[in-house]
Amino acid sequence: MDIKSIPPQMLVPKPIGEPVGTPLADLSNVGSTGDVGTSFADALKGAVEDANAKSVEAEHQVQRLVVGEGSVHQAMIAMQDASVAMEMVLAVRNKALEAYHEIMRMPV
Amino acid sequence: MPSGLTGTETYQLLARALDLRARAQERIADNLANQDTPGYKARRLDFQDALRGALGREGTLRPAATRPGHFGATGSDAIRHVKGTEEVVRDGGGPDGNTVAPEEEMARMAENSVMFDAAAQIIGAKYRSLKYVIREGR
Amino acid sequence: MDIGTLLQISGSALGAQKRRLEVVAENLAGAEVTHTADGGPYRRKDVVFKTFHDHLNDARGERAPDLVKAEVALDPRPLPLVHDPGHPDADADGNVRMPNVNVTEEMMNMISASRSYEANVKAVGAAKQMARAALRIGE
Repeated sequence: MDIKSIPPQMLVPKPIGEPVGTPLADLSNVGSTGDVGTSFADALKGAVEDANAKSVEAEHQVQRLVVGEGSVHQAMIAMQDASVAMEMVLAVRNKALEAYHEIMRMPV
Repeated sequence: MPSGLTGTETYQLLARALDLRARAQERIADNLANQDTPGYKARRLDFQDALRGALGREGTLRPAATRPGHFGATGSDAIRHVKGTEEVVRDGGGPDGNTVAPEEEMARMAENSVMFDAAAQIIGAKYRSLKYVIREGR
Repeated sequence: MDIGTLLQISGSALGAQKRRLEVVAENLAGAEVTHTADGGPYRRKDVVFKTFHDHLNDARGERAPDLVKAEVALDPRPLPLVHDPGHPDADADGNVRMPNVNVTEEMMNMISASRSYEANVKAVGAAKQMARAALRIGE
């Protein structure tokens, strides 16, 4: 099975018995001290939203550049912003994957 | 809408500086092109003071909030909206009313293009080092 | 506010100054010509620069840049009358109508046009440099 085909919500550990399709927001209670915004799920969700928004903006700036409206530096900056955001998503996902593997390796 | 790691003041400052320097270069090009046009009034774009003001009272780096809506009136938001003031030079013209001083414009152009280059190099380096850190050196 | 605009501005100036130099050359060539194909002495041409705007990019929402063009017109100053009875084009009184070209004036024009041309060449160089620097942001 290809790792990449696993949707993000499956890479975060869930309590046994809970259906896999639940939204990420539910998981903020797992292991947290009640402070919203510090869990893996939130981090990953935020990173994906950020990367999405920045990808859209980068496309917009590139289009503007091509039709002679924007500028080279604006397009480059938007592209780098999107690139950084995308790397963030990958980094958070990889960390989540590592954590999942570690937990799965624990003797029950 | 800038946010996250690249929404900090320094990124916004560099990005805005690039915008303003590009606009300033346009004014300089206009002036050099029209240095022999009778009656042409030279135009200048000033923005250093405005940028300095938008840096905020502390004038130091503040990490950006991770949730939108947490930005204040100064800092990153203010920097992004700095427009600079355009000044029209009406005095000091020759008999035909042209106020372009070519040597001065050449000096401004040299400074402007170097500062643009510097800002571009710095922001590029910041992006590269940020990506390096995110990848943990891999 | 990008390289396209900068090149358009400087490009218009290079064209205008080049036209000015061409006219200087024409004036110098005709400085002594008392009998042109149309009859009569050569008349000096004058170059006047005018700012103009190209409104194609107004959709960008920014002010259109100040482009420049060179307009050529005949110099209205009178043709001097010079007493030179031996001249083939001398009239009954021995006077020749000479072109209204002042060589010193033309040389000064030529120097000024060359300097302006060079300044705009430098502006093109600066624009290219800035574009290259901007591209390196994405490396």
